[in-house]
Amino acid sequence: MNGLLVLFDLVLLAGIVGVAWRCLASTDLFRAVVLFITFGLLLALAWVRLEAPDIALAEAAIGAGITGALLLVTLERLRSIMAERRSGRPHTPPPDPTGPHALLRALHDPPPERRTFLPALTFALVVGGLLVTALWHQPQSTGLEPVVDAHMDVSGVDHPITAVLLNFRAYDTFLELAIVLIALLGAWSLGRHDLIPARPAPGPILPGTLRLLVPVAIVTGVYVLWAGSHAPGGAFQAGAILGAAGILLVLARPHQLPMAPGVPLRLGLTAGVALFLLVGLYGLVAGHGFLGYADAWAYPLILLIEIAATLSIALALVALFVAGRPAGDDA
Amino acid sequence: MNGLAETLAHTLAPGLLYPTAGAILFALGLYGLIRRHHLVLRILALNIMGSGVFMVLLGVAARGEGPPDPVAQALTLTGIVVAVSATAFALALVVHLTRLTGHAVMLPGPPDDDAPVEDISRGEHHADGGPAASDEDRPS
Repeated sequence: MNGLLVLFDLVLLAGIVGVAWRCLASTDLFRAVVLFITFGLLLALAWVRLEAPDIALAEAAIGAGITGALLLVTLERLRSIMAERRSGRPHTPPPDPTGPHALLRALHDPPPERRTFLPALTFALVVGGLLVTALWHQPQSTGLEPVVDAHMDVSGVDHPITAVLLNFRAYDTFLELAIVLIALLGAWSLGRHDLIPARPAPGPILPGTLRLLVPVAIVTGVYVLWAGSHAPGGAFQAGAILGAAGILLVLARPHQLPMAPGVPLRLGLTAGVALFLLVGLYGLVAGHGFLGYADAWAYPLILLIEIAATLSIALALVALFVAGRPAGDDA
Repeated sequence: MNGLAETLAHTLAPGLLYPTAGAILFALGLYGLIRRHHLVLRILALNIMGSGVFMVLLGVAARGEGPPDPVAQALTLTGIVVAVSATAFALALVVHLTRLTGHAVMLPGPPDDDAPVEDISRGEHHADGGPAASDEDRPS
């Protein structure tokens, strides 16, 4: 056993738990969000240590990056709503019982009251203790690694995780794409989007940097998508990278959103689920079972589904960041 | 002495250390979820609980001698994407709630401590009026 590695594990885990604790204990929401982004990046490091580079890529891009952007824009929206409520309509008294401190209340959470301390602590300790006990007494098992390894030759790809995601357990991935779509429909059902309150940074630096960064992001995203068939990577990571590029574009020009309105946007958003469903139904008709592929067709079909899924995930992440249906779209 | 070193080596192996840390993260998130009132903080607590679950899954997948279990890793990847979608929807709900009632804090006590009903209808009427967040209202 390598002593240095054990030391690394202990320091990393202590850091992760400590950052999570500071995040949940802070009264300033902005501080909590920044700590949460740090938490996500430390988690990505832990996933590398656990020999899961795919998850580390996804965590850094989605868990830390996209979630962080969503949280920050939400704080900005809350601040703007609070400010408007306080100053915009003097004839309406602010409904918040705290009155003049409504703006502060929006982005601050007072420390929790004392009476919840003991029940919360007891509950968390009992649940955590039971979990640790169960995990320590789990029987030894080799897991499903040998089974996956034995069937890699019929999967159509060379990377075990892509094989599991898009062939052996394609049903999970299909439903996951549907959940992304449903979350977006839920956000759209709350009404039209309003302008993102964050103003673009003055000066040429942000647009200039974007002009250099977006092509690099597109090349990286396509490479990660392509690499998914034989190395860590795939549709989710590629979709997250492209989505992050889209979010940057939206942020640089918040007043002229570069989103295709109406039909093209909707087609792009549903492409992943629709194509997956079509391929699945074809498999059912052709006798391979729902979401089964003929061996010779597995690779091209997986690649096709991955391209459509990347497009849908990237568009859905940008649309969830913008939040709300596009304006001027009454279809 | 030898037995103690063996127990220590067994305990500090990543296959046991990381799931334990995952369980701690889950309990920590649960504690924060119960105690904090602001809805954004509660969403953060839920996300930390989810990360604890991912750490348990990946830690258990890394047990043993061979390469890690790809099925558990694929499930975690699915889970991360589902988590970000659910978080985005929850945040959209929080923004909408704030627009209607004026606060994003889950107040303690019975429901009649919250904003009165007529405030909600008035807020809704205003929300229909058009894009609410105008830049002039923001304090600089």
